[in-house]
Amino acid sequence: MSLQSIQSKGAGCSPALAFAGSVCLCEAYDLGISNPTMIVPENRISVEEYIAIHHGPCSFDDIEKYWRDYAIEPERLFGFLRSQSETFDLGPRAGNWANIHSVPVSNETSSELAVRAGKHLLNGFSGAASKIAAIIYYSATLSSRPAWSTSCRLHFELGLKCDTSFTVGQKGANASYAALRVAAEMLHVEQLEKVLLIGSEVFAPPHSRMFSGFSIQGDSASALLLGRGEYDFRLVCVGLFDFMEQPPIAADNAYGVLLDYWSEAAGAALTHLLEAAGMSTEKIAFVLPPGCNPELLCRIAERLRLPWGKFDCGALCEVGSLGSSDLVLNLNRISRSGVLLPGDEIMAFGFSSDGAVCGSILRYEPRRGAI
Amino acid sequence: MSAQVMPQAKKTVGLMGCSYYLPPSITVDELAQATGMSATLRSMYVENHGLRRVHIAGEESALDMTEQAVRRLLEKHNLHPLDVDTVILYHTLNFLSLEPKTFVSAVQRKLGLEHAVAFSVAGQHCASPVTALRVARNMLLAGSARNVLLVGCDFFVGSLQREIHGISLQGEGASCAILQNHCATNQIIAISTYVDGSLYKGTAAAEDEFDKFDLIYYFACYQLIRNTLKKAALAMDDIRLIIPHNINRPSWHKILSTLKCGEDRLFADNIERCGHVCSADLMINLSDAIEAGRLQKGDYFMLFTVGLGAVWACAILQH
Repeated sequence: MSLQSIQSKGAGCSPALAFAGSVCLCEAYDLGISNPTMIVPENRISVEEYIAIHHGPCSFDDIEKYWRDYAIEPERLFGFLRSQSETFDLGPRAGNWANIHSVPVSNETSSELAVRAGKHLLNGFSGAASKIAAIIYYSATLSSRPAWSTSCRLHFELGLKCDTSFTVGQKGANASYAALRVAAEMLHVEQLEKVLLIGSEVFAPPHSRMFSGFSIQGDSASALLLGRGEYDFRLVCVGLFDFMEQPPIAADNAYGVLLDYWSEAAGAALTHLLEAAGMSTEKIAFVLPPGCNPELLCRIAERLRLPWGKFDCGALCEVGSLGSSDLVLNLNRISRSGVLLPGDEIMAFGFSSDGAVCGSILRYEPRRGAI
Repeated sequence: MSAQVMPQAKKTVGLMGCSYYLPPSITVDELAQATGMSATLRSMYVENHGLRRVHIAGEESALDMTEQAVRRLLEKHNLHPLDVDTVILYHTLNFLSLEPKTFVSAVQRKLGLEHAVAFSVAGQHCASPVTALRVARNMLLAGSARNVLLVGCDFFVGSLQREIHGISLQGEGASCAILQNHCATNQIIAISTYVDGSLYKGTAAAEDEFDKFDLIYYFACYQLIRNTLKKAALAMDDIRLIIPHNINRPSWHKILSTLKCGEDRLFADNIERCGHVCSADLMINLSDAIEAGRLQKGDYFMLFTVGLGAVWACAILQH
């Protein structure tokens, strides 16, 4: 059973924060997530160091250093990257980074990190390869090898024989949720067994590691299997919510305005997600938030009337935000923490800077041999 | 190689309509002059490959082109932007936006698609629209969407570097299609793809990687088409028209000959007229083929394209 749920104005939301929402109710599909796998580079950059070296718009030297194999001339690529990066950087804001001390930084490309994540997952789960019917790659950041196809590379380097491998993107850090949704519907409609989802993020300049003044983002790769049979987290629903009003990053007192925007947006979207799934907040045992400022997360907890103790923010202090890898990072952490009991309902969510909130409700149903 | 085919009972998702927008074009001779292309290469593209023109966006942005294409489609089918509940962007080139901006959200806002959620399906270069079709069909069959707008745009940010290794020249443009469940037109019968990821570097691939691509290209085309026909329980003779990518003429001569299929069943009008417009080829050709009356009610037709990466993609639909 699934439901298309659309509303032009979110419940309890200011009129300016109208959103379109689409919730896939997939509990009856009997699909689940197994083997949430993370690759987190050991190299770190401290927040202070990043702020010190972060001087705004990128230079041509940055492009020469990080970007290769141009599909177009380097000066055209530079013009494109520069034009895209002109307006979004809020710059350093002391005191907003909460407990984040450093974030992981990769010397590898996002494509290489993705291959490592895929190999790591498959090494730990022999026999999965023959069951994988599709590979879906997800990412918020643009690969510094723009002519390459990371999804095709994964198909090649992982030695898989499945008939398709593609990328789901244009959803910022919520690309993982969009990919999860696409995979769930593919598995259900086409009656497939498993889909391998792999994501990676490398914030090569001019990508900014700063997310709207709320967090600093690190490099990483993540992978999971979604499918039938053995799994740990049953997929109850996945929702995508697009807000027509963009986050007002250019406003005076941008931090305060953004705090209002994102807490209201997340509160409205997640309320809608819970309603669509027919669930009350009391049923949620844990909330897995994106790696961002606890002040914002506290506001969201208040809006949802969820006890702050249910928010698992441990990953935030360790690595900051990992973009689209946050979902898998949190599932990986909580599945190893020993706090989960069979039947626990978990709500995970994320933001994307262009004005979207996505979320998923999962039920912990551990099965032997899945992890 | 395996083909994925939807059960016959679910054969209700259809492509209600499609449209496109092309910016002005220049001749291959003009492109050759502007880029210093050798006379030998120029001659190969024109005399041998049958390419004549290349579309260049000039002052128009990717968003301008996309807006034009979508507005034409919505007007033609009397659809209001608020009727659209899902937008799926497909593209060959990646120069559309950089995190934290997304091109697809700019499209949503520009066109007032206020009831739609949006994301992209890509990574297969020119084969991405067929996979976008597959994702859209799944959403419609799962009941989580009612009107899915597929939108494609390719933009070279002012570059005239348009060659694909002696194979073709790439143009800029935007295309789109609207898909619905229980749609009487252009119903999707089968969709299949085949991936050989060894060419993942795309246009930046090395000489030996292109050699391998050349070696397997025709066999993969043949196998995928046969396989898709078999799963759709159709024979090549049942296909009224092939809607191709506009890579070049000689490759299609060879594919048709392998399939023992007459050239009258290939919609090749646009190879000369507009050349290869990256991910837009299929929707441009389908739109023009329908407009030209090349498809009658009940005709089966085939969308076929290949993306560097490499991905071969085939879809069979019934008009």
